[in-house]
Amino acid sequence: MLHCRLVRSTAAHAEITAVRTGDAAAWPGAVAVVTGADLAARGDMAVLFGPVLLDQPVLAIDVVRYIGEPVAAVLAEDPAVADEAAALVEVDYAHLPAVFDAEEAFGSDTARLFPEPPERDPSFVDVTLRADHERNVCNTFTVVKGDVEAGFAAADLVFDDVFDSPAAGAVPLETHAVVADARGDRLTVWSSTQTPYITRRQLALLLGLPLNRVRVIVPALGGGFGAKAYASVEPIAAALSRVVGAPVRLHLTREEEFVTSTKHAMRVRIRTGVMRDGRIVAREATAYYNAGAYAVISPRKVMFGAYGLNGPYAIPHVRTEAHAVLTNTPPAGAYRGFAINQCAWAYEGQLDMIAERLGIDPVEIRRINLLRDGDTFCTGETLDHLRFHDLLDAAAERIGWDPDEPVHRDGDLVRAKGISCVIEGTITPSTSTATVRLGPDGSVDVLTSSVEMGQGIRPALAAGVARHLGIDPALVGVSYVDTDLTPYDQQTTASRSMYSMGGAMGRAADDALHKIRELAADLLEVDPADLEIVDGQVRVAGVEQQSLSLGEVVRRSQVGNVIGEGTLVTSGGLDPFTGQGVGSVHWHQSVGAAEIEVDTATGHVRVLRYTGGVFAGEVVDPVGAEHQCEGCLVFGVGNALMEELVFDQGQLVTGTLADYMVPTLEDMPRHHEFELMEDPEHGEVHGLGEPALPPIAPAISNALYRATGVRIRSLPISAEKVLRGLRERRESEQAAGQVDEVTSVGAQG
Amino acid sequence: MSTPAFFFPRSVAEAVDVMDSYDGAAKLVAGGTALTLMVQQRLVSPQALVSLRDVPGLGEVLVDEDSGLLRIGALVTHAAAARHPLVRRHAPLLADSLAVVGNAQVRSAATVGGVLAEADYASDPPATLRALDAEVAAHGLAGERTIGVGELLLGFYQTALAPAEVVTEVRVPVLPAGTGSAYLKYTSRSHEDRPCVGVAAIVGLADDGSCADLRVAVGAACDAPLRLGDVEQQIRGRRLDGATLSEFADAYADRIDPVSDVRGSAWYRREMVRVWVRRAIEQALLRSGAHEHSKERAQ
Amino acid sequence: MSELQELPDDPGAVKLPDADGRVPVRIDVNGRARTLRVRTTQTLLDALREQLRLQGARSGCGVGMCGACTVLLDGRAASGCLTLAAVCDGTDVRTVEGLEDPSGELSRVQEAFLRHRAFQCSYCTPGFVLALEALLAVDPSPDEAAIREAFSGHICRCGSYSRIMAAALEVAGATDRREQA
Ligand SMILES: Cc1cc2nc3c(=O)[nH]c(=O)nc-3n(C[C@H](O)[C@H](O)[C@H](O)COP(=O)(O)OP(=O)(O)OC[C@H]3O[C@@H](n4cnc5c(N)ncnc54)[C@H](O)[C@@H]3O)c2cc1C
Ligand code: FES
Ligand code: FES
Repeated sequence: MLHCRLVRSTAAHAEITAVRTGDAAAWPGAVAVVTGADLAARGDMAVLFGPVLLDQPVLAIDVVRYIGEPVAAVLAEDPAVADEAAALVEVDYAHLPAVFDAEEAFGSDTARLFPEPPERDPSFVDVTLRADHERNVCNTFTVVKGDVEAGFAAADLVFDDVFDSPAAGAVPLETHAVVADARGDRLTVWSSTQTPYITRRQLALLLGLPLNRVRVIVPALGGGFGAKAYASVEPIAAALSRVVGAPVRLHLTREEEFVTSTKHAMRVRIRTGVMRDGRIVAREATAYYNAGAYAVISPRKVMFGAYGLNGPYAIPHVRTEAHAVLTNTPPAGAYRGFAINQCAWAYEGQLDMIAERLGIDPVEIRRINLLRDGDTFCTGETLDHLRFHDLLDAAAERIGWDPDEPVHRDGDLVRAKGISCVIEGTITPSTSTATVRLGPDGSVDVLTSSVEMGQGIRPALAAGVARHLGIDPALVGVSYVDTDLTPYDQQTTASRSMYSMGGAMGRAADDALHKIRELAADLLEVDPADLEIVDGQVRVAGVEQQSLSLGEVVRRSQVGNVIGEGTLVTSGGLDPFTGQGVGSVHWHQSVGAAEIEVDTATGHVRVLRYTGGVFAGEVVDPVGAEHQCEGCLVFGVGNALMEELVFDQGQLVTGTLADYMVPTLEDMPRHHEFELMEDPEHGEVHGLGEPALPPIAPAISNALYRATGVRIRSLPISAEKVLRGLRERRESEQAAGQVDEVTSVGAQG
Repeated sequence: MSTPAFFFPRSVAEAVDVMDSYDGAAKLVAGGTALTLMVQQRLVSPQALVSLRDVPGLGEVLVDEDSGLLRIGALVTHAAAARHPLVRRHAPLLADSLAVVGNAQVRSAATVGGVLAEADYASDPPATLRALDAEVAAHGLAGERTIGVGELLLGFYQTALAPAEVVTEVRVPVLPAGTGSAYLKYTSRSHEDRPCVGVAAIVGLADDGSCADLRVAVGAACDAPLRLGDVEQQIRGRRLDGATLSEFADAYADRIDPVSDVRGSAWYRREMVRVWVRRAIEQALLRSGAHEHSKERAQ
Repeated sequence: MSELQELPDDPGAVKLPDADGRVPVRIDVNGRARTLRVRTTQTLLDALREQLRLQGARSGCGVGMCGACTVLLDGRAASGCLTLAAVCDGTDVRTVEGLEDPSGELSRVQEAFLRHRAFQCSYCTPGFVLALEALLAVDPSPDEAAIREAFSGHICRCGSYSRIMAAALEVAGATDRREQA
């Protein structure tokens, strides 16, 4: 096996004028040095990939579009040799105008990432493109409801603010890793991907192989959180393996991981019209999602990013729009919470400013506006099973919300509480399939292509199947992913697996039970309709003695095994010009409340307590659910207080875990608690990987606002920003004396 | 780019000789916490690595009664020094500043010699040693010399050490009884971040409650720990009331030339110097017994 | 006094790399004497993973911040990524693979982590487990503060901190703070 070390671009946007590989190739132990041009010259493979647009070169060809883009690959048996040789590759660049900010890149006259629009991947059908490559836009999505102008005209007050979220890293503790073996007209890939079937399709397209000759095997991942959702390292390893005719391994360093997939930086201008009684009557918002240099999944993200700006509120007049804009920064991809974190950061922050201005308690203004059963969402869908009011009341109670005594002071330290509410969809349409195999000893194999990355999908599926079959979960084994053996699943993202794969699994179990019933009927010589299956026992209804276990049925009927199959296909989708249609098969509902302490001398914020509430439908694996919520808290606290990919002219400044901070044990609140609201009648199992996350940063920020009056509009809430806010406030208070603060809306922070 | 040779000298003299024979192209390895990273990231490409591991005598902590010096061997780890009874008794703020460095694994490997020789501005112990008027003993081709920490730390990753010079010991004048001292580390992001600002303060009060001794060093905010002797001098003899502390902290804040990095801009660092100088002195006062003193006086 | 003083049998005062740039290093790994041929710039972490195929110590950051690479070096918790393999000549190294006793029984700490399901992806788990083992070796019943201290430099990105603490407190014999709360 050969180890690959990548030579990465040091230019943000440039033509490659020369790649000198001679010294590297001559380095003792170096087996091969490969460039993008080498791949293109072969003619036996495609050289561009991407889940929606075929825009990303396996290795850069002619042009580099961000600092860190793979330009050449060095292969050697000893990784240290590959390292040394890679340092000898020299690349010459002729710089092109570069742009780093999404709003600036939008229609930029100077910097254009793609003079020619890239082709689409033919099989990605559920995204309608409104791309405009002349303006660096890889997609736009618009949601329109009611008459937004009329809404603003009728409003008593209009609030107009700009909010920013920076790029961030998902930072799975294990970085991307892949081994590819393309020998003999086949391709086998051991990969850390969250999308085995999409990756298989992409790799088949790349190497010109039929799907059934591409095998993607996915062992357990050391975390994913979206970063490993779409192919990045796999095409490189696969192409190189074909070039050298040997298995190739590529394992990214942490520095490389940071420039491989990021959370979208996003800026949004959000205007909200309200009545004096607190009702929101109009919202207009335009969001610029920084897609980085390649589209990856941004074309789909704008859909979430456009409807997400409405929040969980019944707003009659709406026009929200999201653009995914290409810039000379590392590609942004999927990320826990998808686009919703950035949306919630804006609308929940603004809502507390509105509440303050109107003199309404933050909890109360949410009660006034939260969606209720029967309300129409901005997508035109009529919503039901809404539990927002219950979740909000419960969270307010748990945190000890007191409208009359919001702030505690102790010297420089000030404590206060904040609250926020969020709605989030799951990927729709979507497809999952599963197989359940009952053995003669009563054990059960579940074959699934859902990826285990620590989110606990395997124990959760085992528990679900066990419950379905009425057997002990210890009898159920859940497979890892191997596309040669495990059936199709669309992807493991967007908290969809519990609902989608769980649903497919339920159907597969039902299918197996149906077959068991038929077989048992033969064995017992009764009509299948007279049989009942209770606690894993098949028996003639009412006759307790005459019972067979599932395993006995398999054994005695000599069928070897009983195979049940299930498929869950959800349909829907939204029109990209109006946002009307079916946005999600079910809606994640989530509320968060934080208590923070701020040191007003330094601006430093600590989260003392956090409590969240999520409508879970049904909780299958309580420990796993608890883990998922705490995981969201790590991300929420990190996003709120410290996580940021800082770039200087496209060069990442926070590229190691010594520069990029993630929460440690000491950074976490000492007390936290999550309520998982269940409704067994409802009969649905909702995923819990993400919903608890988006409310966290705004709840923390809102608590800071109550504590100090400082509104931070750009994440993270660094101590420095808070201190500046406190100073500006003090100065403006001193300057204004007793003057009404009307003008301060939208002006500070 | 050949692989460096590796040496385990068994005496300081041997180490100096080996270093000298490579004419500046060799690197010492003490705890290795900084050096390993520099080598991995190719920030240095030495021809030889010289481990001090087998050099005897560099791991001692003792108090020299005659000179009144606390002597800490260069190879003593942060963790060992921080919990050492002699360090805790005679230089408690040094123990405090060693105990807040990085994380447990770093502290159990990193050495007191290494942290000084590394001269990374974003460090904790150097400011404390500067406030304590500590010196290092260094062995080079010309034999031993002592260098004050203030003269040793020249700037970003820059020391007054010659290429073949080995720090063997850190010498700290023991604090007089009744002296109050504190080291406060401020991290602006994660708890386990390196310092945004660190302040070491030492306060001795006269019987009448006025300031007999005040020494303050600010670390991590500029290229090397900052001490303002003239400002310290002006405060002596005065009472350390709120106004005086503010004046003192302002002087440090105004005179420092702060760095800008991901932990804070120059503006922010200046403000943090103002806050933390004051807090460190207040903390030192609390520990000096002045607390009781001033309470009595207030009554 | 210093932990670095113990002299190996034969320190081999000079190690000149061979043609491959490697030097021999003798380390007791999980109770077995091993001789490795390492590059003098190679970390202990890489040596364990690449030469000995011991994958329990993992790379999470490479800069001493995450704890995934933790091993027991002469009994104390050390970051494999901050340690040069060549310096480990003559030392005793224990990885998570060496925690079970000869009959295959897991250690008390491992059992507690399993019982509490104190992990999600489990990439961080060996590091936390070894940090706690190192602490218990010097302090059999540490309090919460000591445990938190031992867990500094360990990141669990999945967010299993609460259950990790619960497992640790159980082993330490202290009360579970969830129950107190
Ligand atoms: C994850 C992490 C977090 C950290 N956080 C902090 C923090 O919060 N605060 C802080 O203050 N520091 C922090 N540090 C820095 C740490 O304190 C230093 O890495 C350490 O003190 C260096 O000591 P060492 O013995 O490991 O030195 P080595 O790495 O062995 O050497 C460092 C340098 O000094 C030279 N050297 C070493 N010993 C001598 C000697 N006796 N004579 C002459 N030259 C010598 C070496 O040649 C090398 O150039 C952190 C480090 C890491 C890895
Ligand atoms: S890999 Fe060593 S601490 Fe992260
Ligand atoms: S369980 Fe995944 S990092 Fe801790």
